[in-house]
Amino acid sequence: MNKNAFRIMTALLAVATLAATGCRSKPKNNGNESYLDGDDVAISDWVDGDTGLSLTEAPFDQTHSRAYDVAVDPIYFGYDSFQLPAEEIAKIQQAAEILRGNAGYVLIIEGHCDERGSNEYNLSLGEQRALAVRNYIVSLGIDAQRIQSRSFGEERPAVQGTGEAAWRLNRRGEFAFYK
Amino acid sequence: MTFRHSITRSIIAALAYASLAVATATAVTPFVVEKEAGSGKDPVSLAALQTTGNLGALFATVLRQDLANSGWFEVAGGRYGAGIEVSGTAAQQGGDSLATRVRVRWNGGSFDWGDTTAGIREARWQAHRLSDEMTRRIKGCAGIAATRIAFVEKESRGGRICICDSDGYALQKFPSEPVSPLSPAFTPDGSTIYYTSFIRGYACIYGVATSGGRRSPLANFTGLNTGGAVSPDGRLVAAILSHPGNPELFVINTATRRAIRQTHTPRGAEASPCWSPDGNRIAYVSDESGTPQVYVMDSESKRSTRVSSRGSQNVAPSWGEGGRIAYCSKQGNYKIVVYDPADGSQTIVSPESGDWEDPSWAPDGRHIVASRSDGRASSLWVIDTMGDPPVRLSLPAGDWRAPDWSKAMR
Repeated sequence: MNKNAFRIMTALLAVATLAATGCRSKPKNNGNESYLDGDDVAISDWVDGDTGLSLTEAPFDQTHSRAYDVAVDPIYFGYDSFQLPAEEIAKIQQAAEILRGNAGYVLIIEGHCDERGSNEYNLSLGEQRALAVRNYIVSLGIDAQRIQSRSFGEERPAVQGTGEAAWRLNRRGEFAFYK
Repeated sequence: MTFRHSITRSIIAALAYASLAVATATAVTPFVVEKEAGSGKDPVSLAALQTTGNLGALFATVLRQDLANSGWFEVAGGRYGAGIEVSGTAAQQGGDSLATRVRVRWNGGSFDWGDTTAGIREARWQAHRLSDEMTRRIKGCAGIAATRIAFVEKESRGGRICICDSDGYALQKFPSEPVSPLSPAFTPDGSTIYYTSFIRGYACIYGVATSGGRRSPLANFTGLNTGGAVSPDGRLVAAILSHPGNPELFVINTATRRAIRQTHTPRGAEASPCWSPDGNRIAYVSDESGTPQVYVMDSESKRSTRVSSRGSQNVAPSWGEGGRIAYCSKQGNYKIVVYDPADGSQTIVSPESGDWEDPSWAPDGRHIVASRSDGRASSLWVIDTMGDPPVRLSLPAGDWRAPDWSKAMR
């Protein structure tokens, strides 16, 4: 940028500054009030509108003991995907059978991701993976209230290191049974 | 919880916006990083600033660095030929006290500035505040020196939330957690940080005062609770909650403690909400199209518009005071892209090498702090959208991520 251009820019800047301070209306204090339109719910007694279930139910790991007498291997996902791979479905069916055969048992499904990409997005992706497994088990006739989901995103890898060998083992859903 | 709304900040934001609108009009070319380092900078002379003692010298050193980091000034070697002259004294007096009496003169005017403080950190902050005052008075823009940055330190097991000054000094660490916390975000007044913690065993949103003390939960519902972002007026918190059976965008009214669902995407996950400077729109990530992309939702119509186009993944948006949105885009490696709603342009502002992630705008709407990873540890850098080379924050060796630049001056 040459000096003349800079002088012109500075002059424009002065004008624009005046214009901005002169014309800019004070921000509306309630400008974002419209986000409050809709079916709101009190957080203290949050209840799902469809099922009437509490949305602040205690996590199973606080209300139950870990059940080490049953176990299912982790299921593995494709990159950036929460689709259930066909070859992993048998493990999910196995988890459903454990819940079907043990009335007092409950399940937490943990969704995990590999280290690539945004930590925040991976947290949501991990939750989607856990919920995809949960939905499948519910579709097999298991009560949804017996299954909780949680996501650790990329924060708790099964194996350290980079490269597909590590990543494929970290894109997973883990089954933790409680009774 | 109450939050202050600062009219002063709005005016500063308006000034920053006005200057950017002019400055970028000639500089923005889509997908080209402008390299005009040094162009259009105002020369400053510190030759007439008399310093005594270590703290006086420190004041001058930090001021010199701050003026350079502002992007608007270059510190000239001699006394003459500089359009802006800083004169006066910065004197260490008995113990660790620093007394400054400074006059700043330039073509358009002059002002006097001075303070007396104790301690090294406060001596640095005197320089930060003077640099910002010069930026505001001479350039009509918000300064960035007297501000703080929050981020995550990844440890070999787990991690913790940290805060440092805008130049990387005065590192303050919160207690370590066994699973690394995520996404720290300052409230607009800078008093509190909201972040995602696994301390209960699953992802919940907590608030903690920047001065320390107990953390208190904001959202700990069944399922996922993350992405807490406070609106500019401090009254609402945007967040991602998954209790509907899928991660969705919510807005929580902190006064009434009621939450309102904003998105309905049963086959898509949302993430990373942030507010527009006027609080009337929210930018966020959704993968309902099949890949994660950046969307903007308008509060009036509740309609969402996708703003990112190139790249297989576009994540982690930050909405700057100047109205532009920065996000992380996977185009080969991860790059920082700036989207300007005014003309729809998308400009890559990060250097070629390394993976650049998690951008957060400085209060001047010009600079962006982001993390850079070379496959091992990640470091924090300040990127100038007007072309100066990136500056690395002077943090000790470590793995630093997810920076958030406070919009509040200290």
